[in-house]
Amino acid sequence: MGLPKRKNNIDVYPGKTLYERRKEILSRITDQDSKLPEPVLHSDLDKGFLDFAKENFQFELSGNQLNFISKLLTIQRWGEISSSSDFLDNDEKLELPFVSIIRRPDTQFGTNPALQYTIPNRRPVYYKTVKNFDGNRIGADVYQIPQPIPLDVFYDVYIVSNRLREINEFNRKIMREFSSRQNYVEVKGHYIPVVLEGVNDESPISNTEKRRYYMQVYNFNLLGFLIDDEEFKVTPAINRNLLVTELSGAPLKTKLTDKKSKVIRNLNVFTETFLSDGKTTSFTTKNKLNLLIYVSYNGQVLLQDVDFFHNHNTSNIILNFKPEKDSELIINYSNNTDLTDVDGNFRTIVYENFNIVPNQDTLYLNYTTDSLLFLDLNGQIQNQGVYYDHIPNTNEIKILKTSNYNDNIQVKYIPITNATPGMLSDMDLVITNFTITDNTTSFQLTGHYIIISNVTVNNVPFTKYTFNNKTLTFDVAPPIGSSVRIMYYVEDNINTNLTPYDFYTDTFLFDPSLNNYKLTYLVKDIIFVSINGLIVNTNEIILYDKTNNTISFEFLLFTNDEITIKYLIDN
Amino acid sequence: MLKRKIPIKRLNKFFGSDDFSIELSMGEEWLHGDMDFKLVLFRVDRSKSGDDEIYAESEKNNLHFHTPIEFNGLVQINEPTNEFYGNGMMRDMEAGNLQVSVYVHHLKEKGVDISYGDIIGYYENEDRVRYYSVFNDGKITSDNKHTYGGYKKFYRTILASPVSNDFFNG
Repeated sequence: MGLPKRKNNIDVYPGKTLYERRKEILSRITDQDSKLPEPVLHSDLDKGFLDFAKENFQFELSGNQLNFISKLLTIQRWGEISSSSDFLDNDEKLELPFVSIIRRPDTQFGTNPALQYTIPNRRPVYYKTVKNFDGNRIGADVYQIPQPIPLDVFYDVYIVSNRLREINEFNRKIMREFSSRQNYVEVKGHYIPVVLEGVNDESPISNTEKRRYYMQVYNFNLLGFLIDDEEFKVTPAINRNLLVTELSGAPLKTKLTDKKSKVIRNLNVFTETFLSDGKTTSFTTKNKLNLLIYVSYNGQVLLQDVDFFHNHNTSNIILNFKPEKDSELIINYSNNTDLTDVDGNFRTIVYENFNIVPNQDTLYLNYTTDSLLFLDLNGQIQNQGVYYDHIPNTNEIKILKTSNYNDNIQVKYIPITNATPGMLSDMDLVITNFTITDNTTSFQLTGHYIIISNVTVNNVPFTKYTFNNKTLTFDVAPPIGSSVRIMYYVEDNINTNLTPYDFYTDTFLFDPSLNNYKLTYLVKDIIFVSINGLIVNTNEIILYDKTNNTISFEFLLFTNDEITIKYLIDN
Repeated sequence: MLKRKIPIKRLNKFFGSDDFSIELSMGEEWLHGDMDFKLVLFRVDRSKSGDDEIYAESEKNNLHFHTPIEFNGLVQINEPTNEFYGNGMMRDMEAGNLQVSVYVHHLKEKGVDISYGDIIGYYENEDRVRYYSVFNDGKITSDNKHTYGGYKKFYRTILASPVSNDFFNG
C-alpha cells in the first residue's frame, strides 16, 4: 500500500480574508439592482436588532422554552396580545419566562466615531458612474450620495422569569455575545456595532405580599446610521464633448463698434465699445480723447482717477481694475480741442446731479439745452425714450419710469447759452443738488481740479464753509430738510494743466461814482462773477475791457454791493 | 379529554343557582330594559391587523375589526382633564376615561369577549360618538365585588381611555 497523497491545499481559513473579505462585504452593499446602496432607515435598524436578538438571546432550559415577543411593542394596546398569542394564559396574561424588547422612542444623533461631522452641509460625494443607453447612444450617469447620518438607537431588553436559573442562562448568553463590549448587527449588508451599556434588576422580590418574579433589563445602544435614498443624486455624465474653436482676425480685445454717433453743437462725439478679454486694462481709442464725456463698464459710469486714469493729450484709458472677460467697456468722447460752436461762441459742459424725491417725474436743469450728452441713474447709463425724455430747447427732463426714493441722477449737457460769462474754456460746471438728512457737514466732491463757484442753502447764498482737498465743509450743519446746491468747476476733460496760481479773485464794493473797476491781472478767461454771493449768469451785462483791464456792469447795483470776479490770469 | 368541572355548593342553604339566575335576570331587566345604556364593541381582528413584521402596530386605516356588536352596560365617564402636551404650550383637553360594568352572562349571550386593546364606542348624543380603547378588560373577577355575595362572578368592569380620530374614527 502506497503512502497517502500529501495534501497541500488545506483551507485553514474557510472564508475570504483581509482585502478580499472587504471587497466581498462591499459588494453585498453595492451590488443592488439600482446600482445604489439600499436605504437604511429607522425600521431597518430595528429589524436588524430584532433579528439579532431572536438569533442570539433565545434558549431552552429543562424543556422550558423562552417565550420571545417577536415584535417591538408600541403604544397600540392590541398589539401586545397579537404578538404573544402563543403564550397567553386564561387571563390573557403572558406566560413566563418571556423576553420583550422595547425601543426607546428617542433616537439621538449618533456617536459612531466613523461618522462624526466629517463632510459638512450634506454635500453629496461621488459614489459610482453607471453606464446607460437611451436607445441611440451609450452614456453614463454619475451617482452621488451624502455621508450617512449617525444615529444612536437605544433598546431595553426585558426578561421576566420565575427562576434564577433562567435568569442565569439568559445572562450567560448576553455576556458571551458581548464579552468584547460590542457585537455587530447586520442590516442590509452593513455591520453595525451594538454596545451593551448595562444591566438593571427591577425584580419585585422584596415585597412578601405580592407575586414575586425576576425582571431584568439589558440596555443596548445601536451605533447606527441612516442612508436616506431621498438624498441620492443621479446626474447625467458628459457623453459627448463638443469642442468649438472660433477664429477671428481681430485681437482678443475686440472693438465691437467704432462709430461717430453724432455731432452735438459742433462737437464730434464718438462712442467706442470694447469687449474685454479679461486681461487687458488699457484701451486705446481711435481719436484723441480731448473731451472725455463718459466711460462706462457694463453700463456703469466709471469715475476718473478712481476707477480709471486718463493721461491728457493721449487716446488711452487705463482701468484701475481687471475687467471680467466679455464685459463691455464704452468710451464716449470728442476729439474737439475746444467747445466753440458753429457761431464761434464758446460753450460750457454742465454736469448736474439730482437726488430724486418720491413721485418726482420731472427734472429741471439749471440751463436750457438741446444737447444732452448722457443721463445716468445711480451710475447706470440710461437710454433716452426708455427711462427719460428730454424736450429739446427746454430745461425739462421727463422721467418715464418709477424711481426709488433717493435715487441719484446725473446729467451731463451743453447749455444753449453759455452758463457763465466768459466761462473758462476748459472746465466743466458741476451742479449738485441735494437735501440735508442728517448732521453731516462734509461733502466730498469729485474731479481732477475743482474750483467752488457758488453754494446756496434753501436758495440763499451760503459762505460759511471751507474747501480743502476736494472736501467742502460747512462751519455749521444746515438744518435737516434744507436743500443745498453746490456749483463748482472741474478741470477734468480738456487737455490743460492748471494750478491754483493760474487764478485770481478780485473783490470790489459797488461805488455809483465809478464806471468801471480795475482788475489786478490781465484776464485770459473769466470763471465767474458774483454779486453778493449770487452768480451772475449772463455775459451780456458784464463788459470786460481788455485794453485797460477793467470790468463794468450794465445792470442795476446798489452802493456797497459786493462784486467778486474770479478769472484765469493771462500770462 | 373534557375539562373537569366542580359544582359550586357554597351558600347552598339559602342561595343556589336558581336564586342566582333570577337575581341576574332581574338585574339585566333593570340594566338593559330600564337603563338601556347602549355601547358598540369593535373587536380588533388580531390575525389580520398584525401585518407589520417589526412593530406591533398598524398603519392608519389598516386596523382590522370583527363585525361591531352592540351591548348594554352601566356607563360611568370621568371628568375631562385640561392639561398641556408635556411642558409645551399646546393645550390638550382630554375626555375622561370610560368605565363600563357589563354582565358576564350578557357577553356570553352575545358570544363576544372584550380584550385589551379593543375599541368601545359610546354615543354621547345623536350625532356624536366617542371611542375608547380598553386598557383594563376586567377579565379577572375573583374579587368579592364582582361576585354575587361570594357565590359566583356575574359582572366585569371594563376600563377604557379615549382615542384620537387619527387612531380610530368608526
